[in-house]
Amino acid sequence: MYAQVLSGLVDKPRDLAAGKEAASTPIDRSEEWELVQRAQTLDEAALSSLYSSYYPRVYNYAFLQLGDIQAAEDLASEVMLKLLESIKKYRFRGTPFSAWVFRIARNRLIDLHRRRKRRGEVNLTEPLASMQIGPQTMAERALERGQLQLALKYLTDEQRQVIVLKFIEGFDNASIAGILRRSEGAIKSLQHRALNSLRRVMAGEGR
Amino acid sequence: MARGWAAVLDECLAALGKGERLEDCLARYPSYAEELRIYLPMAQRLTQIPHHQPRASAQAAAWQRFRSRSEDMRLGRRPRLSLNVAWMRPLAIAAVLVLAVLVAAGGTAYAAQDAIPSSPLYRVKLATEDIRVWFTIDDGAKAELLLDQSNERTDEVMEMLQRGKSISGNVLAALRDRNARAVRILQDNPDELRLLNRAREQSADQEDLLLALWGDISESARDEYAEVVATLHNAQLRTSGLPGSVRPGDLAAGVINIAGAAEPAGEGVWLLSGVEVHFDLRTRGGTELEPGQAVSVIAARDAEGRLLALDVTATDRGQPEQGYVVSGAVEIVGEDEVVIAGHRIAITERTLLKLRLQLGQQVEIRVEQVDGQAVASSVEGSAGDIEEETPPLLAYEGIIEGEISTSEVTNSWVVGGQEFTVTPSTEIDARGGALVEGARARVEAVAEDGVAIARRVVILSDDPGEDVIRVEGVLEEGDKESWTISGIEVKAPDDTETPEIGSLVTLEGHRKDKQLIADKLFTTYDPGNKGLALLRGSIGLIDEGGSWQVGLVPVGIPDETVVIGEPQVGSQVFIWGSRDDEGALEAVYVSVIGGTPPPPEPEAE
Repeated sequence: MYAQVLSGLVDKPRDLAAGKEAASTPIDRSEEWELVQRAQTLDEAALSSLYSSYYPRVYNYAFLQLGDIQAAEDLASEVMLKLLESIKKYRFRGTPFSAWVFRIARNRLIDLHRRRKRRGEVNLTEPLASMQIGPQTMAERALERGQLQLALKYLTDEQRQVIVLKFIEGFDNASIAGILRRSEGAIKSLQHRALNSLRRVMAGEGR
Repeated sequence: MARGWAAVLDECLAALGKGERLEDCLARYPSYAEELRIYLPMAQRLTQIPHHQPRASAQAAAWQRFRSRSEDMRLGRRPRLSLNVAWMRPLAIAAVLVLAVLVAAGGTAYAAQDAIPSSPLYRVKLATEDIRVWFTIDDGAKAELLLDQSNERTDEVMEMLQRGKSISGNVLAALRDRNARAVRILQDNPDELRLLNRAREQSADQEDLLLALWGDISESARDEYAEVVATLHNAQLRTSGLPGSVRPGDLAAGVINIAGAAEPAGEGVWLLSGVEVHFDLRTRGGTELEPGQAVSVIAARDAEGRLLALDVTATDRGQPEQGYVVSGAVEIVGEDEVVIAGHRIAITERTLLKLRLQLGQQVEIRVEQVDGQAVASSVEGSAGDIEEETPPLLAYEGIIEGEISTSEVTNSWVVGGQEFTVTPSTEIDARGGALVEGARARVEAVAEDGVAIARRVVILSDDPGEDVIRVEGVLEEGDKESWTISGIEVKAPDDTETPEIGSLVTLEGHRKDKQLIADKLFTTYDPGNKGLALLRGSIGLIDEGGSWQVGLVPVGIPDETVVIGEPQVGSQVFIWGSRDDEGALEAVYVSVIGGTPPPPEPEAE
């Protein structure tokens, strides 16, 4: 019986997200909860669907924090494994599943930061400076995405977190508060400061 | 009711997304129009930034790991059986026979998968793992599997800690064996850069963990401990291409954790606030030491007491320290966080959790600030029943008497007439002066079976100053004649009512005929049900409104707080406090470590 089940597994997850649209298409809460409940029973289709939704999002989130393709891929992979191992513990108590996943990602980033700090490695507060891409690609990407994204590196970590989670990943303030363990009021205030810092950076005034 | 700026921004952003014009939104909220005109287009552009896409090959590889793990979980297995089976290998036939035996004993092998080192089935678990390795022919896959198994040992160590058990020799031996085998394979395969890097990082993490666990290792496992720490250290040297090796004998007398100013004393030998430590290429951290530089060192100690630095970190006493320590009762336990003294602290994968957290449990949490967030690096306390009495902390200040030895596994030091046992788990901070007779020191300790075990020793100054003894602790017993404060007996001050048992007591006194006599009572405070909380760290902010920030913890400093010393931003402080009516930490007694005490007051509380 297991052989049949295993042979039915696909070699790659279904609907590997092809872009931001696929990655951040809002899933109805009740649909997602149903999907998560199936995944909690290790239903392969449900797990595949969650993987397809979240791997690219977590990778994007990690890349914007780390500026390092390899490190972002490793982190996304670790987060997905952690998601798999912990999914049975997830209970819907007002925190969306997506916020729960990003909280895992945030914790992993913290651990990576601690490890690098301990080893005296690169400071992650200067993430995009160490991009592993050539200047031409960098310029192309800068043009493609506008200065805004490059300007993110000049924000404080908390400000960058709020900008990425709010405007790029599309979380609401309550979810961001849950991910960053701050009050919703603090997130609103951070958001205002972050946008202001970003504006000043864009205007060449510095933070 | 007027809508807040954040809600207006959200609403307008959603409206723009649906095709509304910017001007329409501005017209709806004229009081925010100026700000919205600036920020709304910027926020909208941010929402339109395309996502970075992962490389297809990386995503596919990660998917394979994810799928493989989900299969394992479905089958109730832990680490996955490698698929790199060499059916062509002649020995495989024999392996199949062994496997057949295992299948016959399948129930036992299955049951052994979750066995921890204290279980009789643990040997079966290790044997099953060995067979998995044996079945794997590809060197890279074999090394990776061994590293996975080594990691499994780390999980088992953590599991034992959380169950309140000592770390046994078998798990350490298995960890050493897996790690050493993986590194040997990788040395023959220098192109396996990813695995070499993993082996180095994993070994470093495991060594960090074990160096912090000396006190949790069972007596009979001390030899295994020395061997595994040496192996993990050498794994990092090998995978970094560095020469030399650490021998288990270098750790025969455990480790020592000391911070101080380094002064050269010969080729590869430095005096760390008076303590001789050897540094060479085997020392992690790679810092080129400079005379006078403040460093923190974890050193291996051999049977003759010779200290070899395993790890060195430069510290700057001029900068406020980022880390801090909070102690008290657990108020909230979340899946990945804990609240103590009203302070929310994240628990992550790398948190050294030496117990299973329960409400009401007394714990001590070392906290790091990571990206402005409080993250626990370790949590300690009574691992068993929360009703189990945790000995209260004693803080004791006085002058070091007699010779200071660092050469034995445990050493006895006398400070202010009180004997303290210094173990490899004791943190020694000698940045304020040399570790010698006559220096003034502050010891944080707990009394166990009548012996004061030092957890932390801070040298405050080379200058002994006035010969007074300062004591901070919790009243355990007391009458008109004598009080026992956190395990230390003190002759009670004259004409003073005995405080309630469980009260915080802080006082100043002197020794006469070996007896400690209280001269002046600074504080007595009965915390009642709220309990006492302790905080040690640097002041980051002093607010004129009567509050400080220590680490990331806001602390109320009402007028009645007794402050010993002169607090400034950057000062190291030790705070005894309790929660106020709103749940925030309020200080009762503050000791500025190394600060100047205020002039004596005529009468105590």
